Order: sequence, then structure tokens, then C-alpha cells
Amino acid sequence: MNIDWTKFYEVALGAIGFTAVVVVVYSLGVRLLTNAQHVAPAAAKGDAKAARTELYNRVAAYACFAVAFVALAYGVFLMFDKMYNSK
Amino acid sequence: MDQMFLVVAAVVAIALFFDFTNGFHDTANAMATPIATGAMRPRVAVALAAVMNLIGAFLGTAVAKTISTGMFVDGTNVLPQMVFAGLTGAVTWNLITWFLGLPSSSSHALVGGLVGAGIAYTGFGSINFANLVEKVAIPALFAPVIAGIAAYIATRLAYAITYRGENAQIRTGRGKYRVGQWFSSSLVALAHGTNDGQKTMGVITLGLIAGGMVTKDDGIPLWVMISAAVAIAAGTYAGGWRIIKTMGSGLAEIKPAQGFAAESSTGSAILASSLFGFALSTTQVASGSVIGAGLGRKGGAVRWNKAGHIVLAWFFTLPASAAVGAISAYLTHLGTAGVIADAILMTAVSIAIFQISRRNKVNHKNVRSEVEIAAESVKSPRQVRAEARAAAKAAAKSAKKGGKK
Repeated sequence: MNIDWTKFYEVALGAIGFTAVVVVVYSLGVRLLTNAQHVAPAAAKGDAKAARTELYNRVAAYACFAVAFVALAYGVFLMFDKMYNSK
Repeated sequence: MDQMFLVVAAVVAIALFFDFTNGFHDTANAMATPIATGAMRPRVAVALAAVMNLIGAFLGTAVAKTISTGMFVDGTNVLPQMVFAGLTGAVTWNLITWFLGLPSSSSHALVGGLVGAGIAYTGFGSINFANLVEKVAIPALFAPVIAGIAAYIATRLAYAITYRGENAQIRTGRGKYRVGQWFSSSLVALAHGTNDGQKTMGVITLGLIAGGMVTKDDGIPLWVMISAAVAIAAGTYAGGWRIIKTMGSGLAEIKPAQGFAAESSTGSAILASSLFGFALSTTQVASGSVIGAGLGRKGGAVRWNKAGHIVLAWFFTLPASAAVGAISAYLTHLGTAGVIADAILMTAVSIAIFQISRRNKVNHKNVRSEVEIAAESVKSPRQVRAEARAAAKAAAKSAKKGGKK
């Protein structure tokens, strides 16, 4: 029996790394969107600085969500690409 | 009617029934955590899982084509009766663990059943044990641990990034992970359909090849693809509520951030293993992720007693399904009459398990009762404030009324 342990380490590192990236990026999005919601009442009352902060945080949050979504989609693409090419 | 045709028809029928049990047994892998956190209603969750499983089953046929390779040594004469007996073992074990609410691996049950039947038919020499250890046993030990570590780290990171001090009045916004859970759980359901839906396609094709109805070069017939995809989707929609209950709230109390971390970890482990050619059990990966996420939250707890039962079921899955597969194989040795007797016996056992399960029915209605209790503990500060305001208003109103009197 010849077990390729390197593959196991690669699977472990790949799984942990990919999970961490997706969760960190999405969590940053959650944090930024919540920041935007915190200043939203002040922005609604006409505070220009709060309005700017809300806008920046909201845009950055949606960018983070988009990156997390693209990472998931890329993972799906890799999986099916590998499946088709391993025929 | 040709006897071989009857046997192959029985193989197709039991393979599709196995696919159905695989679907409802494994719904929890993707949907237990979003149901537990209140991200989705139970019925919506199982419908989404069914659709993703249906789509996943059509995405490629590589898994289906490789299902039988490596399990038996080259030159082993695989008979349809043998495949039938193997499936009997897998179905029986799936139903027993479903009844007990234990998330065991359907794939391992399938492998165990086929190996047991193979041993009964052709002896130990026909089994490629070295390959089974490398491709099934070792990943079975490593997969839940890797997924658990990934989920633990991810949960810690999610809580660290969204931490806003101990002041409960400041919103953390962690309820927003519920939206992410729609995508992460869909990914898990899609991966499950791709892996498990195709396994049944592979088994049916194996039976057809063994019966001489298709050749190895013909590929997977379209009707096999469609019927297997529909069977797993229907099974998923039926919802294995007992296992959903175990994984959603029986193992650990799961909040939205933990649910998202657990599903991301499950999806990542499946993706990584697919890339490197390992056939991981999605059930074991999902269970490991839930435990890891449960431990990752400060104050979170894992019900180790339940986890112990689940691990015990994992250890028993291969030998138990192999034993049933072997017993079935001895029956099917008797020819078509044996296959019919085996089918009747398996149907009787299935009906008995369903009947007994009705005494303590778990469905989409009462699976939620426990889930809702869990969901209450993850109310956002906004909800808490709104409820406090409503309560204060009601108290003021009643005080006013009392004053007027």
C-alpha cells in the first residue's frame, strides 16, 4: 500500500485556506455593512460626513460580498473543470 | 420474460430507491444549519436542496463512470445479483440510521454493501482492500477532522471580525450571515447532487453492464441520468427531518455566523477533495463542520454524547452494510426466486422501519419547534430593542387604563 500523504496535506490546507478566505471576506462585508447602518440615521438627517461614511462602507461591503460570491463560484468552476478533465 | 431482464429491473428499482433514501438521508448535510439558524424555512430549504441536487446530478458523469473502479480487483465477474445484494445492504443501513437520526455516510453504506456482497459471491480475494483503505477508510478518518478545524478557525475569525465589544446595544450585524447561508448551503447541495446522484447512476450502469444490456463503452444512458437525478431530488425534498434535527440542533447550538462557517467549510472540503481525487463523505464532512463551528463560538457547546453516537455509527457503517449485503448475497445465490425473496424481505423491513418511525414522527412542523427556540437566542439587538419598546408601550397602555379606572 502506497499512500500519498502529500495529497492529504494539500486537501487539508486547501480546505482550511479556502474556508478562511471566504469567511473572512464575507465577515468584512458584514462588518462594513453594519458600519454603514450605524451611521445611516445621521446621514438621513443631512450629516455630510456620515453620508460619505455610509456610502464608502456600503460600497466596500458589497464589494466584499461580491468577492466572496466569486470565490464560491470559482470553487464550483474548479470542481466541475476537474471532473470533466479527469474523464 | 427473460430472467436476466427481471434481475436487472430489480437492480434498477432498488438503486433508485437507494438514491431516494440517499437524498432524504443527506438533506441535512446542506440544510440542517440554515434551518437551525432561521435563514430558511424548512420547506423552502428542502426545496432548494432538491433543485440543487437535481442540477448537480446532471453536471458531468465522471463520478458515475468511476464508481466501480478500484473496489474489486481486475477480472472479478460482477453479477447483477451481486449489485442487487449490495444495494440491499446500503438501503437497510440508510433506513436504520435515518430512524435513529444518525448522519452516517450513504456512500460508505453503498461501498460496504457492495463489498459484502462481493465477498459472499467471489471471496475476499476479489476485493481491492489496499485501494479501499486509501480511498475510503483514511479519508473517512481525516475528512471530518479537517472540516472541523476549518469550521473552527472560520467561526473564530467571523466572530473576531464582527466583534463590537460587550455592549449588547451595539449591533454586530451577525444576522446578515443568514443571506450568505443561502449561497453556502446551495453549494453543498450542488456538490452532494454531483457526487451522490452520480454514484447511483454508476451503480445502475454497473448492473446494466453486468446484465449485458449496455457495454462499458456506451457511457451512462440518458434515462439512467434522468431517473437517478429525479430520485435523489425527490428524496431530498422528502426531507430527512430526524437527521436535520440532529445536525441542526442536536449536535451544537448553531448561530448564523457559525452556520455560514460550517457550510463554507463543508463546501471547501468537498471542493478540495474533488480537485485531488478523494471521494469524501459529505455527511461526515458536514458533521465535522458543525462540531468545529460549535466549538468555535465563545460559550458554544457541543453535545459530545450525540457526537459519540454519530462516530460510532460511522465505524459501524461499512461492516454493518457489508454484513447485510453478504446475507442478501447468499439469498440471491438461489437465483431469481432468491432475488424476489430478498426484495420482499427488504420491502418488509423498510415498511416496518417506516411504521415504527410514525410513533415518534419528526417532520417540517415539529423539526422547527426546537429550531425556533434556537433561533430566538440569535435575535438581533434591533429585534430585542423593538420587542422591549413594544413591551414598554403595552405596559404604559395598561397602566393608563388602570389609572382611568
